[in-house]
Amino acid sequence: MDETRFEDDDFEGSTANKKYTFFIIDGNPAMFETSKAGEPPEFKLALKLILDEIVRVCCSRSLNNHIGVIVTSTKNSETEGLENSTLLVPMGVLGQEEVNKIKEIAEEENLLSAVNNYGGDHHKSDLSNVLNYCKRVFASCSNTRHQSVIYLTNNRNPFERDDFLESSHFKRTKAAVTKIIGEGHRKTLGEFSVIMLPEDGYKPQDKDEKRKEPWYDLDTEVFSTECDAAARIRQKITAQRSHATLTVNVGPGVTFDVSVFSMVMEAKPLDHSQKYTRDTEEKIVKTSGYVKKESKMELESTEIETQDSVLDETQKMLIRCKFLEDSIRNRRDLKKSIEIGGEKIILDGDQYEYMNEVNSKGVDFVGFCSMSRVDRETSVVSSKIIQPNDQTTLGSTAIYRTFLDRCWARQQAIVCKYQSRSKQKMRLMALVPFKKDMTLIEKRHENGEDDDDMEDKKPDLLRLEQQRAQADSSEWLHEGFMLVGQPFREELRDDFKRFEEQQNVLTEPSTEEQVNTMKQFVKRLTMSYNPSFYENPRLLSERSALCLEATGEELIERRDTLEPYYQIPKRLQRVGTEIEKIVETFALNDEIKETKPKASAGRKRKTDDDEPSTSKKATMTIRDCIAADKIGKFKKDELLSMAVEHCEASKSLKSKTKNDIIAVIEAYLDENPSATWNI
Amino acid sequence: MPPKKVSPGITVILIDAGSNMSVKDTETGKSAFENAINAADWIVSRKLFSKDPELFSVMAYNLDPKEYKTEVGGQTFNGVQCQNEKFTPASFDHLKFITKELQQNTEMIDPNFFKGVLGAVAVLKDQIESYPNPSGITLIVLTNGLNENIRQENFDLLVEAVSESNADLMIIGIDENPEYPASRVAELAETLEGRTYTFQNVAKMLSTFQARQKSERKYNKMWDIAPGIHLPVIFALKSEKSTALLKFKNADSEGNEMVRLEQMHVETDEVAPKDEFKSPVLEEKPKFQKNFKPVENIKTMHGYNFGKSVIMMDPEYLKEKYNDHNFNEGQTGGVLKLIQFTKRANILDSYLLDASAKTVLPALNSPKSGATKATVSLIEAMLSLRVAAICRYTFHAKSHVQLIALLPHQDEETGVFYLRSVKLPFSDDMRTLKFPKFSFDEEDEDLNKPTVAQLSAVDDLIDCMQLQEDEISSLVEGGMSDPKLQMQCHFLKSLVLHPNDTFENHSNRTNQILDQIMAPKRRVEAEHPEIFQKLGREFNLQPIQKTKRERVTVEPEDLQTMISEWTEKKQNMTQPDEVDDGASQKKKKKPNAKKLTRKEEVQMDIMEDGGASRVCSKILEMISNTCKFQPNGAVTEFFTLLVNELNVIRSVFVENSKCDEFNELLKKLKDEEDFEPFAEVLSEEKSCNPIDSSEVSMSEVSVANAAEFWEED
Repeated sequence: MDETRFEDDDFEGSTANKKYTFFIIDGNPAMFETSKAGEPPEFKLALKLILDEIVRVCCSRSLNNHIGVIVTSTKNSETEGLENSTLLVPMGVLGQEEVNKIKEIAEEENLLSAVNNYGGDHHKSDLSNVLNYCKRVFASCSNTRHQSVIYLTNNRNPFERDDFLESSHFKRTKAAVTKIIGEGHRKTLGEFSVIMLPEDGYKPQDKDEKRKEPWYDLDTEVFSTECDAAARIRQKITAQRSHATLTVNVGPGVTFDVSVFSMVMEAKPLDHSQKYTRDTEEKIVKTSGYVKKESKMELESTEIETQDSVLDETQKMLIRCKFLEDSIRNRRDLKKSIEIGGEKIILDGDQYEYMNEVNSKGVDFVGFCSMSRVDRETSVVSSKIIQPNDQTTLGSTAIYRTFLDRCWARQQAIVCKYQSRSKQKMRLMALVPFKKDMTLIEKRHENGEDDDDMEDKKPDLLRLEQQRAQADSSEWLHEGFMLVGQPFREELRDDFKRFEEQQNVLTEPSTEEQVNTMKQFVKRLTMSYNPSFYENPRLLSERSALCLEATGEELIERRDTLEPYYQIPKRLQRVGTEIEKIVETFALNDEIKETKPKASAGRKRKTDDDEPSTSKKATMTIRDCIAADKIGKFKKDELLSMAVEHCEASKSLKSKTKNDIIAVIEAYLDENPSATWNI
Repeated sequence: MPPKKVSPGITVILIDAGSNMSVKDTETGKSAFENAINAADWIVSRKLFSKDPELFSVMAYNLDPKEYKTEVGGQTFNGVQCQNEKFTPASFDHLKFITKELQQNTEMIDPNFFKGVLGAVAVLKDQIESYPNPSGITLIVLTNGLNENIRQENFDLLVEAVSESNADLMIIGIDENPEYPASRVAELAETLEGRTYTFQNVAKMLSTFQARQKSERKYNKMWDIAPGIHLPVIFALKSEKSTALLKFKNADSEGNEMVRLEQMHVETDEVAPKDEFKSPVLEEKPKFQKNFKPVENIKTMHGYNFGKSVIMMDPEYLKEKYNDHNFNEGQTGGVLKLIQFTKRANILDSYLLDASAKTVLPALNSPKSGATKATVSLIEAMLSLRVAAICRYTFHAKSHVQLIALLPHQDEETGVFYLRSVKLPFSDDMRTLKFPKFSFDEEDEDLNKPTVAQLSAVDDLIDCMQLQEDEISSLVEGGMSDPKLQMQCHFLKSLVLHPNDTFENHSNRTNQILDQIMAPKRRVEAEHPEIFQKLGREFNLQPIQKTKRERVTVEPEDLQTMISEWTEKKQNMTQPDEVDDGASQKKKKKPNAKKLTRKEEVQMDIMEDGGASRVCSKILEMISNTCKFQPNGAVTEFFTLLVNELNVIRSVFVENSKCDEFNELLKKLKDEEDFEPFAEVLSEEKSCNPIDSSEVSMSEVSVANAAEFWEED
């Protein structure tokens, strides 16, 4: 039972938002010089950043990313409307050819001559001309789009004067940037970004110092230290579109509008539904339809019966095609039926739709409750955040901000009814506020909220932990209301019986020494966490294979990103003492002895399923086997030899049944908690 | 001796249909009979829709003894009616009997509670003889007990009969603190250790349908926290998004189940060679023949998209070299291995994925073992330090590895330490979003800072709209049943029992569900309307209104007719040029012999004086009429035809070196609100731009401006 489930991607489809990005690389001579000994030139760094990103885009499932690459300050230009700059890659969906082109240039020993082959010698260019060219290219695309220009340079002031605001070159450039950003458009989202190279260069943080830099006037994030250049590029390429715009109904006469964004969405494996014959590479087409279940079963049984007959593949296929010709092609033409209560009920499409329809689109406030009552761990809906939308209702930001401030200060969540589209399922949601400033929270009067088991009862320590978490995960922290889906009764299971059983069976509480031993172990292995620490090894492997086939080089390294800590020598060493203490405190000595000889031999990861199954079982212990209910799969002889060898049983057990032998083994393990062996 | 095979539980529902049941409830105004019918209906309906295997028989007593008789086991019971003496799972036949066939007896008769109960017991005994050892035996009596006068000897006989059958007795409808003679019935229930309920508290319990029972499965795992240290734990499902609460199947109009049939083939086109000797005018269209090649036994390659390029890879090669990209060690039973600990605060709410949550507990196979004690101690230590564990997890030997977090908890009621497991996202799953910020440093100017009055208004609202404890349990903590389940069950029930009123009943029920959810807010709106008025004043929210156009709902037939006419014209436009030439020649010889193409029509119109303006006015009027229709799929299709028509007109204008009227037409489409639906189509596709100066030299529109014409201002 594989529990992997992929969320439907609301953003993909024929009407998905397209993303258009121009990378502009500064081609001035300084970009080809090495600022530090042994370091590659900045131009090469720029190409590397672009290559990483376009490979990532090519490996995604979506074809909505259009990318173009321009190099400025070249003598030649074959593109109309583009002066003294070279269109290295025209705007479009990239593929194998474009990736390899960028890769070859980036790998050239003589980088300058490689670039000169495309654009000729150096010649000063006007950045505003390049930007206006980008603007015209964007304008020829559909209006529902996300357009972005990313400029990579090492020149902190190309406008040749300290009072750059007076420079006509700067004014023209700023005007062009303003056109690209295009404030206020409903369907078009525009961005301009500057990546200063090298990344570890001068980055003023004081506001007055920033204002002296001309690029800061065009891109206020140019000196941001929140994330590195690669992450900034990814942010600019990722379209920031809400998947719903909803009206929030606070009460009579009080409504405002918000946009809903998904913050996390499970990435899918690469799509390989296209199939081709191996020999001729012809595309394989699938024809399908709906037929009666009985007919299909008859067809399959007929095929089995005539498997050895003279019928060849073509005739079998023709029979199936004949069936398909008579079948219902469109799922919408089918009806729905259910057999219940002794009746067979048939619904047509309209009835079925009407039965499930709730017409309550939007967000309706129901009431307020303390944030502590909202169990976010049992949420059955992935995380979403809502942001105010002033473009459809003026004043949305003001009321949103006021609610956010007061709900955060009083630690209140808003319970509401939520439906993102008229056909979607109606759900109960809690709007949970978040702000980065913990000092705004008003103190509670109830002291009973504290957990008595907490080692430290200081509220300040808790806030310190939360602030440190913010520093660790700043790129994923967003202020605002988060939508947390509340499960319905049918979606929750009651734990009470299991807890009761635990209470009755585990009658001895842990001793203080036992808990302290574990605390030491836990403290030594407590580290910071950020989702960017762990990549999906499956997707990583897929991309690695795809890149190898497409470019001949493994541009993306394939590796298992989810190694246990004890396979990393430094981390295992960190808790060596604590592990020994655990073994001693809980009398796990015999287990260690059993495992040590095997550990020194080293472990090989078996990736071939054709290995004999016995070698898989070699990694289990008898207790693992019992816990997994696998003990019954052994033969009686095997169980007998285990009992005689490990459980001090006499050979007279041979006359007993298999279940009796299992009972003897289990009884022995109960009496000797430290006993175990590998099988 | 092998254990007995257990049969499904059996239940008899016995309804008092006597005249005593006419007494009205002071609260609801309904008669006791109505309440009894309703309760019986709900009891059966809940079992019916949850597909519970329990078997039912429905009976009624206090009916006219001359008209109704029931014979069970050789005995005759007058005044007792039985829907079916055979027990069956809950069905619509039971509901039809309860809600339609059963009529209240308004005549005064001797009360026969005694006979009714004995009849029910006889039916139960009869069933037990045929199917011994049921998992439960229940007798539910629905009566207000207002006309019973049970003599002591009959009382004793009833006690003996019910005890002998081992039935659990439930009596519904007796008031609290009943007076004689109802107290006599309550006494009977007490003697038999049964239970009594009022209609009110039963109605509360019986107001929702139930989902079918789901299995409570547990999965064993060994948690590897160090080399050689394996902690036994159990995973149990805690929360899971529900899908398909009722199981519908695809079917044809007769209700036969339909399944999907697929056939893979390679499709190639063969063009018949042209016969060069045939006259071009009489040349037949080339015949396309489809040549199907079966591929079921042919080895295939998978096509992957690398951007716009298709990269073919051999699945066998992928399996051999990459193990199908699966990093599972192939360990039987799956793995759970510790990667690191981290502070609980580091697991942000925004990391929650659309996945199920599970409860993780120490396994109880060896409660005294050191490993089990270590597990409990570790959870306790994690809880004390406010730490979560991040682990590598696979469900079984072949599933892909996942990243999960184990979060420590302690149950308030039992004091049990446990973990809650949630799935963590990989870096690939996170979306890199940036939003305007709502916190500002002292240096930055705080835009949108709320005023004191605004903050106060919101505080008042928060105070008034605080949810009560039972509302929190229902709305926040999983106490509410899925409205979709309730709607589906109610719809199907109504369809079977009240087919003529189904849609109306369904609407009413849906509104009831929504009202129930919104009840806390309705109360606040009624009691404190001034709070919302204050909010409205303080924030002055203004929806940005678009001028509303009057929408005309067009009948599908009318629209289809228009589309057919336009399709015919469209086909004429696509005629090959050769045919056009032929038609043109023939036209000179035989005027009006053949229809003109659309393009020729436009050409002729334009050549007349003022023709250009007239053509543009006509298309403008057509577009205007179409924009009045409510948008739907058919209108979208019609828009496509209009766009094509517009392009035909444009090409004719260019050929005749005209531009002003057409450019003016496009300007109107862009600027005037009446044409907004159509203009959105044009601006989205950029399929029709103004005529620029490179096409017609006298045009005032430059090439650049033409390209940007549909850009938003």
